[in-house]
Amino acid sequence: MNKDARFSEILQQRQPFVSSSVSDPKDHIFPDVPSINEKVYHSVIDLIRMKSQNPSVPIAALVLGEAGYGKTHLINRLIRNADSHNDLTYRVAYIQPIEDPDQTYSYLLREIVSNLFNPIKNNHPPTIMHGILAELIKMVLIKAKFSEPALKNKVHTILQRNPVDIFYELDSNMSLWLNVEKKLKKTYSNICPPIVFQVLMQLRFNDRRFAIIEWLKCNTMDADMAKMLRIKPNHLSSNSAKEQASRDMIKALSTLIGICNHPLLVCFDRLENLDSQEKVQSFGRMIEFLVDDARAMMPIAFCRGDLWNNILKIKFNRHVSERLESNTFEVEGCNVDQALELIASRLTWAYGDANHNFYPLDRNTLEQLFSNRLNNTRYIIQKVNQLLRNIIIEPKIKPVIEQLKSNFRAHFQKVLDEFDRHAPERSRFGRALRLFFEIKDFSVDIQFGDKYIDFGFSQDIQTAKKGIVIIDVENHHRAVGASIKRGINFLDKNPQACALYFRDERCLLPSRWKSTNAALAQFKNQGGHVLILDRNEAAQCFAITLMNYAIKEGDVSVETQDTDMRKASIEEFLHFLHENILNEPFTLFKKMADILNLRKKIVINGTVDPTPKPKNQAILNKTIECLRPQPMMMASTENILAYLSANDIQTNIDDLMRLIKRFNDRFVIHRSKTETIIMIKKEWMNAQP
Amino acid sequence: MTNVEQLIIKLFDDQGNDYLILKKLKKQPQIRKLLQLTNKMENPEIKKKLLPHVEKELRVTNGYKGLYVTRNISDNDLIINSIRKNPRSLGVLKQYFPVQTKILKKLVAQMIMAGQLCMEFSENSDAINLSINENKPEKHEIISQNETDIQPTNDRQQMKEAYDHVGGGRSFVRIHAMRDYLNWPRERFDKTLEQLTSELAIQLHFGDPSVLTQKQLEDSYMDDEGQVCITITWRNV
Repeated sequence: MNKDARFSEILQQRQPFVSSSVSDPKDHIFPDVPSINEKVYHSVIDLIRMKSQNPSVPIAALVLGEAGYGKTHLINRLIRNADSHNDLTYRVAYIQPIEDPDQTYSYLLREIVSNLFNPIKNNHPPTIMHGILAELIKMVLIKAKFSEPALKNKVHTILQRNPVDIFYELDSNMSLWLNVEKKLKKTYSNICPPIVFQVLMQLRFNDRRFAIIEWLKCNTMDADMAKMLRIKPNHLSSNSAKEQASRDMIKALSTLIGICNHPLLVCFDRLENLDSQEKVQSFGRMIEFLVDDARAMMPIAFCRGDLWNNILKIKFNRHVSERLESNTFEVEGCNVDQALELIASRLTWAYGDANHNFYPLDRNTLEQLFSNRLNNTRYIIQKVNQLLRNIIIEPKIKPVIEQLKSNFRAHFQKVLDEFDRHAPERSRFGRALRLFFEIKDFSVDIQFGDKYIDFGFSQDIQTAKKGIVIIDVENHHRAVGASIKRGINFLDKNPQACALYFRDERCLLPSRWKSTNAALAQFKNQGGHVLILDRNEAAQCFAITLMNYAIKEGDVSVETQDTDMRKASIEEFLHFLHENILNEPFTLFKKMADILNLRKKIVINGTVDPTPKPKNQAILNKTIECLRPQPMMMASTENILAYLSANDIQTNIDDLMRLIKRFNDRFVIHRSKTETIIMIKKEWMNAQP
Repeated sequence: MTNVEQLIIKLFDDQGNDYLILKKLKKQPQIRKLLQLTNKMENPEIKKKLLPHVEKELRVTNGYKGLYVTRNISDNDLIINSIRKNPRSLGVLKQYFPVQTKILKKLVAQMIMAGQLCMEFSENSDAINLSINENKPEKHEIISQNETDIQPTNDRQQMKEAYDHVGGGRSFVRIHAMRDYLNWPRERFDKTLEQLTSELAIQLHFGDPSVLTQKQLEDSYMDDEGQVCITITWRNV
């Protein structure tokens, strides 16, 4: 087979331009192109270096750039290169947007701890936390006196080769570990609570890792877990106590990170999801706290430029915005050389051969295409994808809903693959469950009841339905009992209503909690529903929530029939959920629908009838006629309706929108601040309807 | 701007200052009259009287000597203006400054790290005064150099001025606001934008249309791909 034929065959199997998003910055699928956003990258590295050399200097940073310009890719590069600088080692924590602003510090702690338990290198067992602790242990052992020369040699050899190996090669030497623990406690007793060392030193036991993570997250612990870690069981009854404990824990972790001089870059991405003033303020508190009180951590926010300047900045207090803006960087589009480098690198990745001369594309065509302006990376990838699809024969494009289904499956599979990193989390489950109720036409009240009730729901469309959702991930019998009690009280007052109690199977109720189990039985007897989320169901919830974040950020692209790619809209995502939520793999939602007696609505056949009825054809013609003379060929739905009416065509807003959505090959819908705007697509600017 | 704001801004301009201890407003006859201040009034009461008259130009801050009325500029700019007028040590600066000392210290530390401020030292190496680091190139200097690279047509210069004015020194400036500011015929504006884009002097950004009104969307810009561009950034090469 000649080279070109081999390349063509490869392109059929793994076309490297189908994905233009970095939905998870920890993924290292495609090669990095260092020249893109090189300046911003080096500026951030300089800041980290400054932080490493002067940990007490308060530093925060802000990276601005519109969707598709490589903000998440920049985080990806920072993660990839964390160990590749001669004079600097740092670590990166990637923080998803906060859901519950009342848990600002507990949330921040949970996210930081989850990140600290990511592997240092993909597919290798030692985590970042192992690395930090290994550095501390190294400082002790390097100066320690050994009675056995053989042990000394062994320890020094390991420390020289790779300090984290100490967890795997010396795990059985009890006296050595006890001595190191004692020494660490003594050396750092004035800056870090000794119990932190006591717990962390047990990282050498793999079976204790879950308990250690729970303890670090300040989650309540039952007697068994506490006994395993040689600590007292704890129960933080109030939210403020948990918030305070979380602050203290972040400070303690920061101290450890500071001692080993590996600054932690805390990246806040997808700020589009800060959709309430409370969430914005909560984010601001995190930034202030990290800058002022966790000096080994350096917060850096990644945000769209317009969103920052005109919306978020105004909502923050001045101290937060000034802290972030003191180091502002902008990601930039690619010039033609960078565009060619990007294309070449992806083709090299696909072919496994750098000698491809852009096959099957023509270099001159590419140069012409990308030389007239600075283009964002997503646009370049999408454009090349479009060119390739005109050259190589590919299967027919799937409808948008099917593409979203594939995208969901990928998210779902990814969560399943790294399920241990997705600890039971109330706020993420909550978002997925709220979406279920919202697409099923319920109104959701997140202010309902107290902290034990997640939200209330109600619907008055056919028969009045109302109820509450309690999501419980606690590990202490008192907290669990309090949640169940809220459910019982609600059913006492509202015997006809529905109470749903959710719990992850990873935190099942032990049978010895007699009174708690009795309360759960009473809850069921009174008509309450207990839904225990198995691995798949928990993963579905996480996948829905993470995909929701990605869609809002504009990180999910779909192919359209005109060989183009565009961002999937939130409406399309909700439509996908609406149509699929009662099918596989959404078993949890099927159970909920059964409980709520929700009959599946009849799904209209998704295929578009290419020939509109005469009245619809007239509406389409007149709509285009109305839009063409307008500035930017756009008008509000109100103006279009008025135009149609003046031309003796009677319709209403719902029918018009249905028609516009159906013929989405010729119209774009923009939700502006005040109205819904319809705009003609470029292909239809001059074409006859 | 309200009458009271105008009077206070004039007072600042006359004194070459950016802030004033709130109590001192009682000594300004016109302001005293407008705000109906009396000698016995303490800071909280004066603040209560003043706030309804504060719109965009002023703010009330908490500093070393209690409450201050301050120009509505960033704390960094307050520091720069104050040091530029009179280089002095942090210990002296804090005693006048309208921002709490804890915050002031952090800001000064950041500004030193960023190269905006520098320290002067005595012969025995004690730090004496803070001063402006005049060697650091200001942003506008870089931009003006960049401008010389662009063919200096009048329209381009005017567009850059509009960008600076509307953006107030920030990037990602909205196109509809620049269009509104320049008030040119649509074709002239779009043509200039296209020229600057092709010269790679500016970047067009799509942004989020849902934050704009219909009028603002109409006054944005549609590129040759039919995409609505909402903001631009001027490149600092």
